Parts: sequence; C-alpha cells; structure tokens
Amino acid sequence: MSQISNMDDMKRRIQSLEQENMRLSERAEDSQILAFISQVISQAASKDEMLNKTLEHISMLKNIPIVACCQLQSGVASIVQSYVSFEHRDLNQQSFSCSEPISEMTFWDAPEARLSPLILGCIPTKALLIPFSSRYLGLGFYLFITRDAESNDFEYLALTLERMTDLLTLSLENRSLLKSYRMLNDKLEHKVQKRTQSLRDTQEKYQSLVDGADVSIMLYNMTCFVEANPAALSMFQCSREQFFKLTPAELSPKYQKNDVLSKNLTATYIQQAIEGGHAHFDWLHQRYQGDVFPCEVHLSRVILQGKTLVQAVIVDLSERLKVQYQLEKSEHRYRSIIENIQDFLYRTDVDGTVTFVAPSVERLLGFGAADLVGRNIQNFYIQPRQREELLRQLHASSDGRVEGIQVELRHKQGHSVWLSNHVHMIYDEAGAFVGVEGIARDLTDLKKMETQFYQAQKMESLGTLVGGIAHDFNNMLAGMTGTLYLMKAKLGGQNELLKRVDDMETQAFRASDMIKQLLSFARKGEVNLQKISLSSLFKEVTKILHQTTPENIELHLDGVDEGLEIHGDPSLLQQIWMNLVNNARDALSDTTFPEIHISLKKCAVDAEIMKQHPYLEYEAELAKMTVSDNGTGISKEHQQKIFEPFFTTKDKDKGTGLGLAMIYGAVHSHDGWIDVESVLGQGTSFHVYIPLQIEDMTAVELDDKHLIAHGHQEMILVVDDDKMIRDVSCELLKSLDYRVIQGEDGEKALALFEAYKDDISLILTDVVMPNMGGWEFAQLVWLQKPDLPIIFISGYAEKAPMTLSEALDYVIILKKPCAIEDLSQSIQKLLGSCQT
Amino acid sequence: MQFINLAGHSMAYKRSGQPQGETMVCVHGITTYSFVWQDVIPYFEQDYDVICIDLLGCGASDMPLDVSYSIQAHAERLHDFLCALNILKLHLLGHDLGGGIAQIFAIQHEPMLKTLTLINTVGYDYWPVQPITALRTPIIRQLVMGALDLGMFKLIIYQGVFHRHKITHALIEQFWQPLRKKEGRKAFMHFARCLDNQNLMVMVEKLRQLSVPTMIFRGDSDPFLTATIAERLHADIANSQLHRIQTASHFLMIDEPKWLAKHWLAGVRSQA
Repeated sequence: MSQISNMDDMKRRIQSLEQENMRLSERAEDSQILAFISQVISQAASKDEMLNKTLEHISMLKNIPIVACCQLQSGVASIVQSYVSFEHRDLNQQSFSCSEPISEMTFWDAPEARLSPLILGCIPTKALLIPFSSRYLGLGFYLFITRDAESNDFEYLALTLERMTDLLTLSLENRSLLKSYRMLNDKLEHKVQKRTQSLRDTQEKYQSLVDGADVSIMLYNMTCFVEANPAALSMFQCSREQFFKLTPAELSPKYQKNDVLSKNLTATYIQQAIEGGHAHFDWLHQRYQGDVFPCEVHLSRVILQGKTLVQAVIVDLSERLKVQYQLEKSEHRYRSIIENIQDFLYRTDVDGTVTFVAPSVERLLGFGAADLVGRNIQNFYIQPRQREELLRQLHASSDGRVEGIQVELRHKQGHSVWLSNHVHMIYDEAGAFVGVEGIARDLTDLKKMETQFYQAQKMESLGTLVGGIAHDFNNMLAGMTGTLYLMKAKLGGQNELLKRVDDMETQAFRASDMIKQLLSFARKGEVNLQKISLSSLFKEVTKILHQTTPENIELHLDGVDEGLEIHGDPSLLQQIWMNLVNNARDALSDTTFPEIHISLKKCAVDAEIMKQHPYLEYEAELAKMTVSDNGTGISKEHQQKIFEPFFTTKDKDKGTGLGLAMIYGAVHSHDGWIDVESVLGQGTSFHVYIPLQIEDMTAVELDDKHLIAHGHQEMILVVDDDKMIRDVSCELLKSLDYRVIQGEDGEKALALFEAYKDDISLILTDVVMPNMGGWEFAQLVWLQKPDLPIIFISGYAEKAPMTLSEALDYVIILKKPCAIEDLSQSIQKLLGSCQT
Repeated sequence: MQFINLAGHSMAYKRSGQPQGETMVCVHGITTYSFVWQDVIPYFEQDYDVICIDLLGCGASDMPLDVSYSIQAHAERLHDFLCALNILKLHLLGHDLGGGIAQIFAIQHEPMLKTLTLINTVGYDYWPVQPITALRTPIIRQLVMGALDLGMFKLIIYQGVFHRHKITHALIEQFWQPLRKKEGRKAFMHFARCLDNQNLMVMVEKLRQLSVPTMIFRGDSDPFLTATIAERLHADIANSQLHRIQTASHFLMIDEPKWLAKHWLAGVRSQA
C-alpha cells in the first residue's frame, strides 16, 4: 500500500517536475523569442513593417489567431495594424467602440459583443488588451484574441506578450525619435553642408580674387609675413619660403625719397594702420634681387582668429608712371602741335554760325576763338561768293566732303588771308545734316611763292629774249666799231669826217654799254668772280658815293660788318651799289628831307628766307646789303615790274629802264637775290643778299688798256662764221703787222690749221659757229699743238670748259665787241708768254 | 509546372518522363514541395511517367486556410488528383509527411499501387500530436521559427542534409521561396496546426495487412525522425524492404539520389 502510495506520490512529483520543466523551457523560449522579435524590429525597414512583422511573429510563435494594434481616440479603437493567422486577410482600418479607459492590461472574456462590429472570422473566446502610450502611435492598446481552447494559457502568456509589446512600443518610439533625430540631423547636416559650401564658395572666391589679383596682397603679423598671393611673389621676385622670412623694411631700400630710414617709416605706417584701421602712402620697395621700384601701399588692420594682423595691398607704379610720362609727353606733343599748327580747325552749324574754332586761328586771322564763336563765318569772307561756292560743291559731292577749296578771309588787321579749306559735312545721330567741319590752311606764303615763281619765270624768259637780241646786236656793233676804226685810219687828216666817225664810234660804244647791261640782266655778261672782301669794297664804294651824292641828301652808313668775304665781280658789285644809290637819289627829288641809308650786314638763312629760297642751307651765312630811302615809294603794282628791262617810271631822258634789270642779273650772277620793300610816300628799301662763300679762282687781269700792241708778221688764223666780222678782224690784224688766214667755221679752220700749223702762231676764233664751234675746234688744235695760244671772242661771256680752264695760260677770252686795244694787248700777251 | 483544379483549388504538379511508362507519383513532406525530388527524377524519366505534386498549401499550389491540411485530407485529395488524371495504377513514393499520406493512401487504395515507397517517413506516434500545443514540440517549434527566420530555416536544412556541399544558395532559395510571402507562412502554420498523428495511430493494424511491395528508405543521419519508425514499418509491412544509408540525412533524395534510384529500380524489378 505504501509502495502504491509512494508510486502515486512519485508520479505527482514527476508530473509537477515535468510541468515545471515545461514552463521553464517556455520561459527560456520566451527569452529567445524576445531576442528574435528584437532582431526583427531592428531589421525592419520602416515602422509599419516593424509593427506588421512583430504582430505576425507574436501570432505565429505564440499561436494567437488574432493580433492587432489599436489607436484609441475619443472612445473609438481603430486598428492600424493586425494579423489574422487563419485567414488571408487582416483587420486593418476596422474600428470598434471602446469607451472604457484602457490604462492597464485588461482581459475580456467572450468579447464578441465588445469587439463588434469587427469582422473577426471566428467567435472570440478571450481578448487581451495591453495599453500603450507613444509619440508615434499616441494612445492605444495591443489586442490579442483567441478563438478556442488554445487560449487555455492565454493569461500565462500575458506577461510575455506585455514584454513583447513593450519592446515593440519602445522600438517604435525609438524609431520615431530616431527619425526625428535623423530629420533634425539631416536638417542640421544640410545646414552645415550649405554653410560649409557657402564658406567654401566664399573661400574659393576670396582665394580666386586674391590669387588672381594683379596687385600684391599679403598679411604681416608684426614679425614676418604669413601669407602672400602669387602677384606679391612675382612683384618681389622671390619664392614663398624666401618671402616669409622677410620684413617690410627688408623689402625696401634703406632710405625713402625723403631720406628717411625705411625701417623707421615702416614702423610708423604699421602703427598707424593698427591704431587707425588703415594707412595709405607712396613707397619705394625693393625686389629680392635689389631693384627699387615705386609703388602705392594700402595697409589695413585685420583680425584673424583673435590675432591682429596687417594686410598690405601694394600696387607697382612703375608701369603707371611710365605710361603717365608717355601720356604727358604725348599731351605735350599734341599741345605743341595744336599750338604750333599753321592750320586751324573749325565747325559751323547749318547757318554758318561758328560753334568751335581751334586757338591756332588767332595766328592766321588775328581773331581769337572767342571773337569767332557765335558769329557767322560769312562775315569774314572777303568774297562772299566763295562761301556760297564752297557750300554748293559740298552738297554736290558724293561723300559730303571737298578738299583744297581756296578762300580769302579778312584778317583782324584788315588785310586778306588766303586759306585752303578741307571741309566735310557733319550729321547728328539721326543722320540729319547739322553743319560743316573743316580745317583751313594758310596759303599766304604759298601765294607769295607762287607770285615769285611766276616773276622768276617771267624774268628768265625776258633774259632769254634779251640775251638773244644782245648777241646779235653785239655782232653788229663789233662789225661797226671795227669798220669805224679802219675808216679813221684811212681818213687821215680829214678832220670833219673824222669827227663824224668819232661820234659814230661813241654812239656804237654807248650801244655796246647798253648791250652789256642787258647781258648782265640776262646773266650772260662777262663775270669775273674772285675772292674779295666785300666789307673793304663796300667802304671804297661808300667813299665814292659820299662824293657823288648831292649835298641835300643825307647819306647814312648804318653799319658795316667786317670780314665779309665773298666770291664776286668787284665791278659788277660796284655797279649794283651805284645804281641802287642813283635810283634812291632819283626817288628823293620831291622829298623835303631826303635820306639814304646804306648798310652791309652779315645774316643767316632763316625760316623766312627758306620759304622763298628752299635750295639754301639753313643758317648758311649771307651778306646783306641794304639801300633805303625815304622817297616817293613804289606801288605794289610797280614792285612786280621794276626788275624788268626797259621798265621805268622816270622821264625818258632820265632813265633807260635797264638799271634795276642789270642789278637783278648781276645779283643772280653772284647766286644771290634782291628784295624790295616799299610803301608809297614813305620810301623804299632794296636788300641784296649774297652767300658768303670760300672758293679759290683765278681772275684775269688786263694790262694797260690804252696801248695798242703791234705784231711782227706772226701768222694768225681768224675763224668766224660772220663774214663781215671775219673780214674786219683780218683787216685789223693785218694793220697791226700780222699775217692772217681765215676760216668760216671750225671744220674749215681745222683744215687750214692742218696746212699751216707750223706757221700759225695764234688763233683768233668765235665761240658759237655752225658745224664746229670754237671750243671743239680748239680741242682738236691742241691735240696736235698743245701750247698754241687761242683767243676766243664771243657775244656771250660763256664760261670756258674745264679743259680750257686748265689751258688758261694759252687762252684769253674776249667779249664782242672788244676794243682794238684789248685785242692787240691780248695777242701780245699770249705770244709773249709763248715765246718765253 | 502543370495545374489541375480540385474542389475549387488549383493544385500544381510536375510531370516528366515517359507518358507510356508506368506512372510513379512523388509526394513531398512538410517545409518542401515538388523541387525536393529534382535530383532523383532524372534516373526514372527514361522508363517512367514521373509526377511530382505540390500539396495544397505548398509550392505553387493554392494555399487556402479554410481546408484541412491533415494527412488524411491530403490522401483524399491525392486520390482525387489521380482520378482526375485518370491514373489508376502507379508507383507511390512519399517522403516525410508525404510518407504518412502514402501510408493512408495505400491502406485505402491499395489496388491502385504497384509499389509503395516510404522515405524518412513519419509514422506511428513518433511525430507531433494535436492540439497544436504541439508547437511546444521542438521540431515543430523549430519549423515555425524557421518559417519566420531564414537563419533558423538554414539550420533546419543544414540538419536535414548530410552532404554540406549540396547546400547551395540555389537550394536554400528553393526551400525558402514559399515562405517569403505572408500567405506562404500562414499556409505553413495552417499545415503545422493540422498535423495529427491520430490519423496514423488508428491504422497501425491495417498497415500489417498491406501486401503491396513496399520499399522503406532511411537516411540514418536524420535528426528529426527516429529510425524506429522505419524499423517498425519494415516489421509491420510484410512485403517490405528496408534500405538504410549512413551518408544521408532527412532529405535523402538530396543526399543520395543515385543510391536511392538504384535501390528503388532494383526493388521494383525484383518485384516484377
């Protein structure tokens, strides 16, 4: 019995132990399930998934057919998530009335009515409500429903389920908080990123600005430089490492412009920047290699990370100063051009009112810009039709411009000024014609030169004409004087006839003098240039003038510059002076207090002279001879003609009209020129300019002109194409005891020379002849008989060719008509030198 | 994969081999579906008309929760399935729970069978009993957790397959595929909840009356089902052969398909 009792007891104990073991196992399993659910929760991608999966897990692992999460609001429980194990559907979005507060775990037995109208799909046997309160879900409860006997252990499961749901709620809460945190974090991160990007952008911009700046930018911490942009390193031509070891004073020369030590001045400016915030000054800096350059420095105080630094911005002024200098130079040049320009710019409106005129106008017209602006330009035209013509041409032109239109404007002092106009039309932005713009150039000098040119041309033509006539006249006169000489020799004691012949001879020689003057004018007269002291000659002539000038005329010698030497013909120069003074004397016949002033001055070629004589060398020295009177003066009209031959305002018996013509030709024979200044009623001044030159030449000097030398039967070959002259010459020479043969031109004479060359002692030949001229003939003769003396007699006083100049010992050149004395002495001279 | 409608539910099956050959029908167990036969089928296709079914609630078949997934109900649906396909004679093979279904089918429809093959089958009372407090049974609890967690599921596979090199990613994916969806998990839970050894307990005597040639295969490394089941079946079924192999676990068809095919074909021929 006791054994049975023991057995039953043992069975009870075993059953108890088994139940205990099962519960312990289940507890252990619950812990495992909690960990499992915790893992599911942590792996869920979203809160919905977390809730969904957890409910499924609870349902499956704890075999609870319906599990739901309900939100409780205003007495209504709404199912937000659910799991139904026995159907492929859920209870989501369904709701039921729940008026009682669910503040703690609650069991509902036979809850079908309470859960109405939920469509559960089964008859619930029991329900467990586990409340929650969370940020994510608000207030509510987890709902667990059983439907059959499986719910036997439902109450036992309650604690486990509570732990599971707590875990779920906390996880949801954490997830929600985490989400909020993440959102906040994301926002913060976004803000940080934005700020970081902004800062980076700002930094990049600043860096770009600093690195790309042309000016040098650097930071100084009172000990050394701590930052510098590439421009700074380039400016000082050193590396970063080198630069950061330097101080501002070490980047400067020892002294600044004001002789102040750079070191001291640097400290002053830096202190000024630190105390006042900034400093600005000009400075001399020094590159690493030692070059000093000017610059402009801006210092400013900056605070970086609590430390005070000085930022320096340095601009290299080298280039700027260079450009500034060039600009000033350019401006100066422009100003100089504008101020010295001979042209002037002007602008008028449509009506002709001057709206702008360059200051240079005053130099040309005498009027200043202020006198002209606002006035109509028409008022300044001497010939108003010129402006009308200019405008007509302007409007007719295809491109709205005309050039080189000559107009005559009125100078402020009354005289006219010729201008060349380049004009174009100007338009406004809309294309409407609003006026004209032009540049006017002074033509006064050009006009004057033009007149001089025409005058010179005229005088040259006259010279050619007169020269031709004079040559023919000379030939005729030579024939006449020769014939008259022969007649006088043959008339013997017939005094009456002799006197007539003498008169004829006198007239012939007077005519010859006239011809000489004409030849002087035509510059074809005989000119014997030699080096002479013009000053001495002038003094000699002045003595004669004092003796020959009437006592009522005051002759003033205004000055003689010493040492003026020229190459000139003294007799011609003497004639120039004598004629000029004679003219002055004649002009003073009606003057109350007649005066003549003469002077000889040295002057130099200046710009004014060069305008008229551009062939001269600038500043070449000149002799200026001046003869002035206070006589009647010469009208402008007459001034143009006074140098023409035979032009005279004197009575017929007082003047031939050849005096000034001769002077004109004589002056030009000396490579000089003559100017006249004259004002009617006030007087006249003649200025003769002759270049001072140094050139050695040999002058021909003649012996006693009054002796006629005879020959000793020497044979002379006479060559002349003019038969009368040739005959007279032959007769004359025969009378002087010479043997004569004659040829009518060079060719025939050469044949005679060939035949008689051993007998011929001298040749007398004309220069200008047909077939072969005298010079060419002489050349051929000298080829055979180099030392044969030859006398050339010509109507022109032409210069001998160089070969003849070299043979001057055997040559004499005489001018037609020549006196018998001159001829006989020349023959004797050559024959004598030849004999010696 | 082919489908047939049975009582309003679609049932999936895979048919291959020789249409004129003898028909062999393969029934899988819990946690698997027709794929589990894939390694052994090639050995039969040359001579047999091979059909591998997906039980209702498994694989590609419908997963209703309002029908019974008990082995008795599955056996009845198997009969309906064969009738629908006009299969009147067949070789029936069952694995695990499918072995239980095959035992019931054999007892109820023995004339239709040419042979009966039971591979690592459930039997007697050596497997979970109702009510589903059976979840407290370690194997079922493991299955439930495995249905929820791939890690846990892999553990089941590792225990059920002897040759580790055969556990490939593709194999695990095939096992896990139905449980990816909530519907599959619910169906699995419904399946588990329907497990009831009473169906087999009541017919122990009828097993002893079977005369159909029966082949019993046992992978001796199976940790889930005891070897006693195979041994008792072999003892109770008169015309039976027992083939055992150490190098196979619960999923013998995966571990030793060739060995299985060789012995099965030899067994069938010996019967012929």
